[in-house]
Amino acid sequence: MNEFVETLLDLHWHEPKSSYDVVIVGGGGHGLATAYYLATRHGITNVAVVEANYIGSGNSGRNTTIIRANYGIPESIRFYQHSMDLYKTLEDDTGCWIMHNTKGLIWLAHTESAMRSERARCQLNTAMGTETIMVDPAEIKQLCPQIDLTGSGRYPVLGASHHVGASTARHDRVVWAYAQGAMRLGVHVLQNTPVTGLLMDGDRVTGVKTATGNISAGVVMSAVGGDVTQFAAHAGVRLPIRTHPLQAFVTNGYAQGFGPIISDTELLSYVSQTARGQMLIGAEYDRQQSFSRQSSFDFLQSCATKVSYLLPFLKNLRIMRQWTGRCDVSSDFSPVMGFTPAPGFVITTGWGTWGFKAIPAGGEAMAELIATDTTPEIIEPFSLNRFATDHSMADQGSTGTR
Amino acid sequence: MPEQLRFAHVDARRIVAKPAAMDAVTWPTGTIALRIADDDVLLIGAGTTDITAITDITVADEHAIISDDAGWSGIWLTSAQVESIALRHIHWPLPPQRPVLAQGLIAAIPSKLWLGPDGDALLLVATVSVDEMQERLS
Amino acid sequence: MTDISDGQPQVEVRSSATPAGRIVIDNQPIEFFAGDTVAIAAIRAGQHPATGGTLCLAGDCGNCCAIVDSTPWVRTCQTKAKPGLAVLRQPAVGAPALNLTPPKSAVSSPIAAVIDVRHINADVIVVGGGASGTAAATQASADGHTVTILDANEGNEVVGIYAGPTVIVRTPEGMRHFHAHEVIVATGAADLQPACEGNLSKGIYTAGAAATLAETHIELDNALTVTSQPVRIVADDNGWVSGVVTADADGNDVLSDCNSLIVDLGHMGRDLLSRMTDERAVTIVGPAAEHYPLPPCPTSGIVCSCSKVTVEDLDGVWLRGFNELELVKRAALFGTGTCQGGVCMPYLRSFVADRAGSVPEPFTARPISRQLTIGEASAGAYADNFRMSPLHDEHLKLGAQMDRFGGWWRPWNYGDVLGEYWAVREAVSLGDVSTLGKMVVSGPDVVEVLERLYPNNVHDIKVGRSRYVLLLNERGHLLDDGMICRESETRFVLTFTSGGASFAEMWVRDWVETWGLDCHILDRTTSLAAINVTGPLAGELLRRVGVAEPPKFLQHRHETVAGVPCHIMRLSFTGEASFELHHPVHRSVELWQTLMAEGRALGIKPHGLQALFGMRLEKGHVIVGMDTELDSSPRRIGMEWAVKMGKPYFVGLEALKRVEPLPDHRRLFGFTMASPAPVEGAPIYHDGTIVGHVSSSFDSPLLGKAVMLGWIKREPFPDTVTIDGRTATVSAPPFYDAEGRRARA
Ligand SMILES: Cc1cc2nc3c(=O)[nH]c(=O)nc-3n(C[C@H](O)[C@H](O)[C@H](O)COP(=O)(O)OP(=O)(O)OC[C@H]3O[C@@H](n4cnc5c(N)ncnc54)[C@H](O)[C@@H]3O)c2cc1C
Ligand code: FES
Repeated sequence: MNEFVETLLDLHWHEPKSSYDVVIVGGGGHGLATAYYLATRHGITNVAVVEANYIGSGNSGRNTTIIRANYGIPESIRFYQHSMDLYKTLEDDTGCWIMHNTKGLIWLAHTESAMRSERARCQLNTAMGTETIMVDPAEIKQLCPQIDLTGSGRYPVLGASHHVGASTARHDRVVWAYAQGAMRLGVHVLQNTPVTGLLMDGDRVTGVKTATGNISAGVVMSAVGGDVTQFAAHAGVRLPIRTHPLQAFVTNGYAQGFGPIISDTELLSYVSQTARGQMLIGAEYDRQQSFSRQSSFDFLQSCATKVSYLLPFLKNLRIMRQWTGRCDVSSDFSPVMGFTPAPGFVITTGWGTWGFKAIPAGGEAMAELIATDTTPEIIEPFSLNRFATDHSMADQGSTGTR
Repeated sequence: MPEQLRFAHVDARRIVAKPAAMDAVTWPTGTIALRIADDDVLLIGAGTTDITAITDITVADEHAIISDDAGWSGIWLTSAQVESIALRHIHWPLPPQRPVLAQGLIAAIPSKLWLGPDGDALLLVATVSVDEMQERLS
Repeated sequence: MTDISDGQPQVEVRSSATPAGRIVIDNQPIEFFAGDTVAIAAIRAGQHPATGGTLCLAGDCGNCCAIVDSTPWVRTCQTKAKPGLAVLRQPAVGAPALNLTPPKSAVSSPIAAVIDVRHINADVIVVGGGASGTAAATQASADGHTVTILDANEGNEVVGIYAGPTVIVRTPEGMRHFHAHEVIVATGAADLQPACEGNLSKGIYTAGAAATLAETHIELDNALTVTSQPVRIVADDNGWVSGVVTADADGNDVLSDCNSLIVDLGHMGRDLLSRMTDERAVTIVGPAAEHYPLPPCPTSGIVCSCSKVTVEDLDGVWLRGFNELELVKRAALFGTGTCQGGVCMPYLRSFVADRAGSVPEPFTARPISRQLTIGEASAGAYADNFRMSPLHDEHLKLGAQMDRFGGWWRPWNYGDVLGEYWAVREAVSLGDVSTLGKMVVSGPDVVEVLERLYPNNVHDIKVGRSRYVLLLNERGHLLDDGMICRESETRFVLTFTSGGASFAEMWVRDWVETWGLDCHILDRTTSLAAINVTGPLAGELLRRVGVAEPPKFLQHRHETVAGVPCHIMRLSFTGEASFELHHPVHRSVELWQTLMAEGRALGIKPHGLQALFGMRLEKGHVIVGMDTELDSSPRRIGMEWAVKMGKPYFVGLEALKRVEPLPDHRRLFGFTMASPAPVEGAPIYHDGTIVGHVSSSFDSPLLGKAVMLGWIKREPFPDTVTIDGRTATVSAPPFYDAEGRRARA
């Protein structure tokens, strides 16, 4: 018997109908959380989540599960801090064990310019009520005894920012927790149902097309992850989004012994230990755009190299598997949530390599937007029309990875 | 353990001109013309030729850029050395013909490898990266 | 530690050969014979190499994993025994400890090739040297191909096949990366493992394992072979098999005693390697490709031994709505252990087929197979290539603290930031600016190219003069900045920032190519070094080294300085008269040394980036990437003067035109306040709310107060703000020598 086998959840599936008040396309974290909050907060339950494969088959079931709020612009810090707060109570809210674990995140700096950026991050985070503090090499060593502070003689550690409240949670369980909560209140989740097109009445979206028939809807929400540009095109909506592969890998399991999440601002790679004891390692997204989910040896090799400089003990651990997700990266590296030029069609995208942490707050805000037909203040800065109005929310330094 | 490779500064001239004009040039004897792109030649001295003394390079292109290029360091390698470097540090197949210029990453550093007619080869790397290269190859 | 060698007469060795040496398992030495793997040596010694479970001896399952020479999770059946090899069993429950002390070999820099790596270019690779592999190899040879067979039994463990196709192989000598034209996977079939109660006992072997043991002259004691799923395997107190319960023809349980159990339950194609890649040049042949019948749905016991998942676990999640193969897998964590479903997949499929009524496809095979250590994966790779100015050693000699900036090593300071500052402001100083991007462009269309690339005018730059320019992207946002120097009607020299240089080169080439204009490009970034001679006495120093009449502000020309051919550009970033001497890289040290020596009498000191950043801030000069953001347009940083909106075209013009009439509430402002200067990044408050942040700050020694650049992102723009709890005044830069007299002097 494996202690991590799921024993609490219960998923109740429904037979599909031909019409719903709200159809959410994409059964990832964002789609399901939106359905959950529609049902729990707004009493809207005549909702279907339509998923091409199985729930969580996209990035929500492939990510490295880092939850943090140490962003570089106030609007983002506020949004992600709120999401972190929701994560803290998610187990109580849903009655599910999501393996939420607060471990702190260390962003290592090796150069004066990196130190400068991390100091700036601490300033702004603190001002926004998010606990991020500078730590010196001795403190880093205490938080992570495995670290080689000389960076194998090549990347000496000058200091780091320590985002104290950062945490991880098991990705699948977050997806299932939201799915269960929504389904219990009557939301339909339809698996293995790819949406192949949109029903249109003029420029208004009125439903979705699937291989098994059309489904009409009062509102259609796109939560399709990396497929979003092609999907939104069905509604004639063009998005400033590019899809890039992002890869990660895990080792076999080891006894717990690696406390924080260690991340590197220069080598752009990060390491944490999962609840099952595996070392989970990731890096930047692939530079070339692609819809492919093929993993590459180049990635494995370069990422393995990067993490070895600072954590040489890793060299002896065995890699078990490697995988790839497809990330919807916006041109300003911030999410895109809200209304589109097509009436009846709302989107949540631009989650790139950082949208797992945003699932609770993103879902909550999109549910409110659908229920009230107005944009909640907290996601106002992330509206699609910001690109047209020249109000982009650039924050590359915080979102290039993870 | 492979031997320590010592790179040295390589004097060179650089000619950027129209491909057709470039094709028509007969390069001075005692030089090796490395055609690094259709419109770009890195000219180095073979043997004892002092390339900086060769000033009479003419290309039928009034806008050609002809200049000294002091940014290169190089080392002459035997074919056995090339083979050993290729085995460890080159991810791509070396072209079979000789002489030939091969370009690409060697030990993850942008490099040029001129494979001469007699098996000898010249490995060139930007001087700003030469320390890294020497460390990686040894 | 459990004592495994408990005297059970497990095996009988029939060999006249003498032992080849000893390995140590859990601190007990055991003998091994030539050719033995660790697992076989253990079996020979009457032991299980791990704590239990069916052995396949073929690298398929994870049941023989142990800590070998301090690396956990090593398949002992794939590891050759060597004298002195130290093997530790992993705990039966839980996981091996995370190694805190790195192995000796890994302590040294990852740069050093700790693990040998070879790149081998190959034609056809056949993975697997069995019957199907040999047949495929023969056929490929007959077709004129050069064939390489890689077989784990010969020490070539293929661990991954990637696009290319690239075949990653682990050998006892190190890693081998084969770059092939074609790969044929002929990995054969794996034996099914038993899925029933008691299957974690010691003394269970697959039929294939039993055959391997027979070849090694090990005869299993009191062995019994079963050809259908046992009902139950019975073990003694020490965990060794003592019997097996099978069902007879009438379905009654029959217990048979035995000391070793051989299970012969059928096969599954070893197709993981080929399923890991989409690469078209990879094909699969022989038993590996075959669709063997699935075993009957398991009814009891552990079905996935790597993740210790039982049939009850599967039913538990199935009954609670996890109704897809992938969902069952994820909810039960089935198939997520060492073998990655390699031996348990058929059982999961047959379970789901039984419950759902239709046979599901196997789940995605993800690399890597047979596991690499992170050290093995990283072998031969490098993270970065730090570039070094030719003056690197000079800086070190002068006591510089070096820092990496934009991919280069650069002097951060020489230990005396204030002294460096005053040398620039009052005497003369040298700065190493070799890292600047430098490019020559020449051609009949060159003016057109530059007019399109840059938002400023280019055509009216006179020969011998230069101009400061911004570089914008299509969105009208700042990419870089630099200088344009006109050398002739059709030839210019461009400079870019150190960090922007490599991108700028691609940018310029791409656009020239896109527009199809006639213009040659020569990137000289790494061919030319550059020294910035700056300070009120800079001109004097140049005269002393033979430049009779140094160029005037924004002039440039080619002239020999101290015997070194230089391109002298007069500009100013520090605020003082500055001459950038661009010169051949290999002459840099002598030029630097001459300037330092001649400047001694003038009070020369070199300056590092730290002093430079402060001085340019006094002048209000923006550093792209430091003061600017990803979406900074010229108007946001107060540089509309460098953009000529009336031009017919430049990259970014359309975007700027579109946003021109839109309200904009983001501006980079200058601020001053009493010292000390706030930390860079400090939030800027107005009326108690955050309205922006400080992008650069400096305690100006000359002005005796703090000067800053910072963003305000809310209208109306205030005149005073609060930073660090103190009042700061918005004040238009430059803060120093606003008329620019010193730069022109
Ligand atoms: C390797 C990796 C590591 C990551 N690490 C982190 C991290 O540490 N922290 C963090 O915060 N974020 C991380 N992320 C990002 C995060 O995973 C994603 O941003 C987040 O999961 C996005 O959720 P989503 O619901 O928008 O999209 P997804 O989870 O991708 O869901 C989209 C769903 O839509 C479905 N779909 C697509 N098209 C259709 C259609 N036409 N019809 C029906 N259904 C359709 C897909 O099948 C999919 O299930 C990582 C991502 C990856 C790939
Ligand atoms: S038996 Fe190895 S993963 Fe299931």
